Amino acid sequence: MKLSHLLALFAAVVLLVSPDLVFAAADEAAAVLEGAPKPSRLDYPLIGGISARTVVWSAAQMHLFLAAFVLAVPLFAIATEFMSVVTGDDRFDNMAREFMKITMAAYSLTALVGGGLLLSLLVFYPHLMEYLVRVFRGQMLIYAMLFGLESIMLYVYFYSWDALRRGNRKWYHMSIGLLLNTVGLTLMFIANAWVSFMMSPAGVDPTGAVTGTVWEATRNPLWNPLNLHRFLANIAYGGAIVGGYAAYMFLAEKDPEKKAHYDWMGYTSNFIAILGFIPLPFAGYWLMAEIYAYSQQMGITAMGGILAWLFIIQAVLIGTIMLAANYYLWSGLMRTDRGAQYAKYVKYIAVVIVGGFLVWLTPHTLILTANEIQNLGGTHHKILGPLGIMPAKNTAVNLMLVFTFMSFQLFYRSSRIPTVSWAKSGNMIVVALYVVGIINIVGAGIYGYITPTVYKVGASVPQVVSTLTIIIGSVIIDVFMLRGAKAEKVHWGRMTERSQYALFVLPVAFTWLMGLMGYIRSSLRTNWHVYTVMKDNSPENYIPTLGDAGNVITAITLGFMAIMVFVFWLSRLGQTKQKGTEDAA
Amino acid sequence: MTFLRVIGFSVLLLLGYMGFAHMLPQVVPDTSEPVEVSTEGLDMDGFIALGENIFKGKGTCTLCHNGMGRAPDTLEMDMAATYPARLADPRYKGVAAGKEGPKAIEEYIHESMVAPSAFVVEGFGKKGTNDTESPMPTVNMPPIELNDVEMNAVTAFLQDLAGLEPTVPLPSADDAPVAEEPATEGGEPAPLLTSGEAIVDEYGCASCHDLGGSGADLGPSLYGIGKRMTRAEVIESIIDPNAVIAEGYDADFMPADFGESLRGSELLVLTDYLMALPDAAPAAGDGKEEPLATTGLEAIDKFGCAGCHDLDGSEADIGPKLNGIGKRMTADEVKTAIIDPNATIADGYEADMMPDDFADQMDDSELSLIVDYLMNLPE
Amino acid sequence: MLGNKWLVFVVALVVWVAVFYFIDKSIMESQGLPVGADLMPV
Repeated sequence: MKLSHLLALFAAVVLLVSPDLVFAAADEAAAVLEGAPKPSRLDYPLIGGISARTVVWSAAQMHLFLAAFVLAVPLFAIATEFMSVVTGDDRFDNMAREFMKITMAAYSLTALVGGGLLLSLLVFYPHLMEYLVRVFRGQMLIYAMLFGLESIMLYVYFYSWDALRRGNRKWYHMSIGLLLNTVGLTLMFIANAWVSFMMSPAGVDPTGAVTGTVWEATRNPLWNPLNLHRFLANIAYGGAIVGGYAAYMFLAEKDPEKKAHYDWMGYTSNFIAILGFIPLPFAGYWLMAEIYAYSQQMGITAMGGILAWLFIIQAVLIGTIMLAANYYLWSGLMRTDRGAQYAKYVKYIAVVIVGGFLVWLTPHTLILTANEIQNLGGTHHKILGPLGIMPAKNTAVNLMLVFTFMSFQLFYRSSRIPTVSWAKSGNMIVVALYVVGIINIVGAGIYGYITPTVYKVGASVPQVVSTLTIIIGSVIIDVFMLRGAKAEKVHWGRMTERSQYALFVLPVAFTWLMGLMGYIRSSLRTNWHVYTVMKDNSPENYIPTLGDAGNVITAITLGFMAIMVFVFWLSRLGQTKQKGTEDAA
Repeated sequence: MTFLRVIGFSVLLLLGYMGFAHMLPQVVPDTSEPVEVSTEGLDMDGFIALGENIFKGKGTCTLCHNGMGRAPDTLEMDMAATYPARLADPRYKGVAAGKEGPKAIEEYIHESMVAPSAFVVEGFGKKGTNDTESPMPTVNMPPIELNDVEMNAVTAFLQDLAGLEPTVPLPSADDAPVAEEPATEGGEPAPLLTSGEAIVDEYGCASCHDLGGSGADLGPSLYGIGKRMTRAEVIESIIDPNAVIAEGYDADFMPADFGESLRGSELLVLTDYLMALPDAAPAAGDGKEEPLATTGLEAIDKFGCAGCHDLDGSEADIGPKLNGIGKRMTADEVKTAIIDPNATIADGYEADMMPDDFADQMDDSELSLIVDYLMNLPE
Repeated sequence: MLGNKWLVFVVALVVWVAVFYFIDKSIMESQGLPVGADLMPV
């Protein structure tokens, strides 16, 4: 059984990397180079008064929400499982299994919505689909095959959990999990290739005729930046949703022991969400830089053109995520008896986070100062204005990240008393690292503010690297400093109800944020199906207004929340045993 | 209960985000299909104006060629001195290398559009290519896709900008039509006007010319103009009204800046519309009576005040500026000035310019709406 | 063990400044941009 899986996977990889081994013959038959289809406005099917774009948009976004969740959870489930093997603590193993249980219920819905997406694309955009099939040829079949394989692995991984729980068998189980994640990530990478091909086509000539291999089309300029960005975002997203689940269970449960379990699960999920979230700006920067390198036009459309306002909403969303995550962490300080001594720092961190949030929110009024209009050469260029304040926004987000990490570090330390002799000096080294790093972030921001555009973009890299240096540096120092530290008792479950609502902010804001970013990413193509190669002549080929997009995104998010409530309900149903009639009252 | 509270909280949060998306300025996309118009009959001034429109609009040149350091600031630099220097630059090996004169400059400009990497201005190359590769997209390829006529128009504009006589050929009837894209790049917030009626409305032509039954006689009637003038003459009269003055009319009345304010395709659409006008105004009273205006703004629009007066930024200067008039005149004086315009003539303006039959044209309610509106106009 | 903690703090500050300066310099130079030069006001 396993051997056949491996063979299938091997075959899939071979097909993926060089599909021409198989399809070369077919290609030679169709040697005439045919360009991309050029459908006119009338060629787009009109079905009743249905807005084709809204249908496809909703289906695609819903599929993405579910798929992101379903792909992310096994990633940290296997990490948690590994933790249980390393620490020998069964709590980790139970939690990993609980993570997977939620995924199982969501999985079939993912497939269902995916089918709906495919159907709506075929119905409403037949020419585009015909073209994409022409470019990606057999890869779509491989995708379907891998999807089947993913299903098998997922079911095997989940249902063999107890059978393969102890001793050497655990390693078999984790191997299945590893395979599951490999297949899952491959699926995501393939789907990303189609999406990034539509933004930055490769392997085709300017008319859209297929000249390269499937691998060339796959490996288009934006593929890897998108892969990394989605990989990290999925982890953050999955963590946030599982956190919402834990928060709900914490509120619903009365049993203190179960409350403690879900408090701990909520804390871990929040940790996972933030862990995925912290490097995201860096991945985002890489993606934007690659977009600029691929097409200045596209980059400017995103950062300076009609979409510039959108990044203000993004700022609000990220701001609420940061505030909520920090609020949760600060509330967590009361779980330990030593936490109170750190609580005095909270207000300073809060000032920075709120301040950063505000900096990110307000700058748009700056654009309209007379000075700036004069510098931009009149109102015609005012659309480029937001670029001018990018350094301020970058500085704010980096500071927010640094201080969010500091909240984590404070909580982590509140439960550990260092015993090494150089603890005081070690603390000083960490403090100095924070001080210099923060000065560097602010300095690079000011430098970026007063220099021309190229420097602005350039100066944002040292900022992100400073943030990562602070985080990695202080983690390394902490590892050595807290070696053999005296552990304090953590009273899991000693949390306010209000703090749990912070955990609901994360999935809601993340879901909406992902919807918003999907809108941006799609809008970058402006009125192209496949940028520069295949024009979108449909009646809805324009960029919808922010308000309209907000309505659609909100509606999809509500739909997703309804699905998730159903999924959570299902997974609870599985563990509910029928009781006597006294409960029915 | 917990469930309801959690759901309520989440929905409120969502609605907050949605509300915020509605609070921000909405960039309303122009969903009209691109219009294709013939450039036949365009003279060089019109061609330069079209070029400027393309440079700032469809060509998206100003996205990078501006003061923000992405690309040389073509509109601000002294291009008269720059072009000869580029041609003589030892690093330049393109088609016009070593040549001189306006024709060579035309070749250089054209080449910089179709092969941007032929010469990269120092400091503006792609990173790491040592200024051998330009980040500029090729403008006759997607996504910009200018055709030859459009590139010639841009070249004419750039040559004119450098104080040179354009050397590009004028478009002929055989040339491809010019398509102006809707402003999807967010360049111009004002939507592109694609019908003659809309353009006539927007620019208030009927307030001076007899058009749409306006009966105005400050300028010649536009009915039957297709019989009296060629397409080229009509275009010329729009963008350079003082070039030829019709008998019985005076020079300097018609604003001379329509060449700049009309977008390239609008000028051509307007011309087509005028050329197709019937010989005479449709008989009055055939049910085309305009409805009564119900707001000051509607009334102002209906009677085309902004066509002659500087009003809310129309910048017309045949009559005195109306913004801030509430500070200079009383409501009664304004009312008199409308129904009996020759009673008092403002300094620097002439009598008999403003129609004196508004008392008949306007309903009393419309008159008072206009007076109210004008009195409250800010400076 | 490492002496006065404030002394350690000052030494650490200097070392971190050097580290961050080196990081900034190499990042900016790898992008083809000078460090600290050409501060043209926009």
